[in-house]
Amino acid sequence: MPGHAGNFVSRLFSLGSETMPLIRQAMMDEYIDHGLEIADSFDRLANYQFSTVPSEFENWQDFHRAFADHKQYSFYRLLNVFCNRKYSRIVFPLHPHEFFNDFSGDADTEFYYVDLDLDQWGEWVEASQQKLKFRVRPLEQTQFDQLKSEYNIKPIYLSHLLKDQYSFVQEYQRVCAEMQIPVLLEQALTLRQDWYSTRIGQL
Amino acid sequence: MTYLISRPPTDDFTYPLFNELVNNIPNTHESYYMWSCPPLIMDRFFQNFKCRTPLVVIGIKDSLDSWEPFNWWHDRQHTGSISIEGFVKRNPDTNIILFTSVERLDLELAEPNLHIIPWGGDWVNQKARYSVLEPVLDKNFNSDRTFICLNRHVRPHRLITLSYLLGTGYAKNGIISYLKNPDGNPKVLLDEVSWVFGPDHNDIREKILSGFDRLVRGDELVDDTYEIYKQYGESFTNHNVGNFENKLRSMYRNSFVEIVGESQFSAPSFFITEKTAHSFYGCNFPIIMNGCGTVAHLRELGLDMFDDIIDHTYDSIANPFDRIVTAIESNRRLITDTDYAKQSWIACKSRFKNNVSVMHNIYTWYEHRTRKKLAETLELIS
Repeated sequence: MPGHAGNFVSRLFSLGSETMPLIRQAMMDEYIDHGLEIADSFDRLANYQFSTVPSEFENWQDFHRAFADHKQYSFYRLLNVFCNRKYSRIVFPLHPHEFFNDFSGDADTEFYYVDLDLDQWGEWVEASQQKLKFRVRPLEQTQFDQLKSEYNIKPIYLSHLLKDQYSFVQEYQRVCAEMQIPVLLEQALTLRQDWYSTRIGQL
Repeated sequence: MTYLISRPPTDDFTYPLFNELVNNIPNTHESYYMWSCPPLIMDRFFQNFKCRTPLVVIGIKDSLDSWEPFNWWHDRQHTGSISIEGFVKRNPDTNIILFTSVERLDLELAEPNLHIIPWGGDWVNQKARYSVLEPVLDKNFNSDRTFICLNRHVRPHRLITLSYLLGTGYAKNGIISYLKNPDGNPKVLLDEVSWVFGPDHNDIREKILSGFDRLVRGDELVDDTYEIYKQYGESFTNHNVGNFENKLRSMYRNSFVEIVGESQFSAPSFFITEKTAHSFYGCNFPIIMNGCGTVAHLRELGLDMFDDIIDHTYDSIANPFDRIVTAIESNRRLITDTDYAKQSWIACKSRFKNNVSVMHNIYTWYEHRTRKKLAETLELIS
């Protein structure tokens, strides 16, 4: 759902070399136009940094719009062709509204949803929605419930990722195992610290 | 294993068929499936992809026009075909099998290492829902309108057809819809249509130009709402069965003939969409504004084209102006004489029902043809 840190979560699980890096739109355009391959040395952590956003962008919406998002799903897949299909997965965030309106994935697409204890984090979600200028569309909660009931959709417990380092590590490792991707703990903790200190407060 | 680049949300027939067929190809190959919308994906694929195996299998869903109009007087190929041709020529040592939604693509592309297999246009989408769609047999015989002509996005042949219907006065016998585009519609015909009037076209030119003035005024048209899918609470883009049920069924109830304004018209190849399917499910006498040979193809599928009622000689006329005018003028009585259209419809009711049965089985027809052509191709290249 909007404001549930989908952008952070999708970056967290796009750290490994087997996963397509989430890249800026300008880079996507250049690479697609010229059929370029993403170098193995591409620095994902530097590319995912949240702490530089306030100095680089006017607002958070501009930051998110600077990245190729779900609307560029097909372009990510095409880019993977130019990368000799070296990436076995692409992880990207999608709100329920966009899922029902725009998305048509492959049969082997896996779905995850961000689960969050709104009693504890509800105010933060509302603030995030405003900050990111996300709109919750009238049917979006219904669509989300429909998604959960119709698809084999698995939870990622954001409450655990937020709680403390121990809980974060436990949840991160659990999801990595579920996705069958390697655990990159040091990078994951660095990304968490960068995101948390920027979007929530000091750890 | 097929690599999926993109796919329309309504694609429940072609992609599964492609997957199954490609998985059974014994030759070493790589295969890719993509939707030509937006066209940039297809274009960049053909521009930049480097073949690595002796056989590459590519499935392209949807048209190859790349959203560019085709000018019959100047163009030989669709923009997408040009892109494919360049790719095929850059890879002369690779056999390329191209599955396409476009019919007669061989008229635009003829390279020795390219093997074209058509698998049916976009009217095969939403198979599960079209297969159980109830036809419109409960016609309103009190309707004072004879025909419908449904138009959405502005395309040259639609502008000319609408202008001609308005300029001749035939429009008063029909219901004509036209997209209410929030960005505005054309105000100057020649800004949109770069067709070339010949010396024989003076009379029709006057009718078209005066009709276009009436088109701009718009008071004889039914607005086609821009957000047809969202307006009716449908959950995804191009939900055409939903549009048929929510909006079009009542228009079909009140009409007996349809001038079908398909998506393409002038190119050598042709592409059949849900617009043609709706005419058969809506049980109207079809006059098909599509590329040459479309009517012949529909007959081949087993559809009754009502050749004793409709004059389809336009189907083999290449000049776009002449095709439009012939399609309308040679069927003038059917279009303008409401009683004649109704009586003809009553006499043909069982034939309309039979056509719906054929429609429910077009998938089998296309699948059979696709398998056959693939087998022939594999034999040829092995």
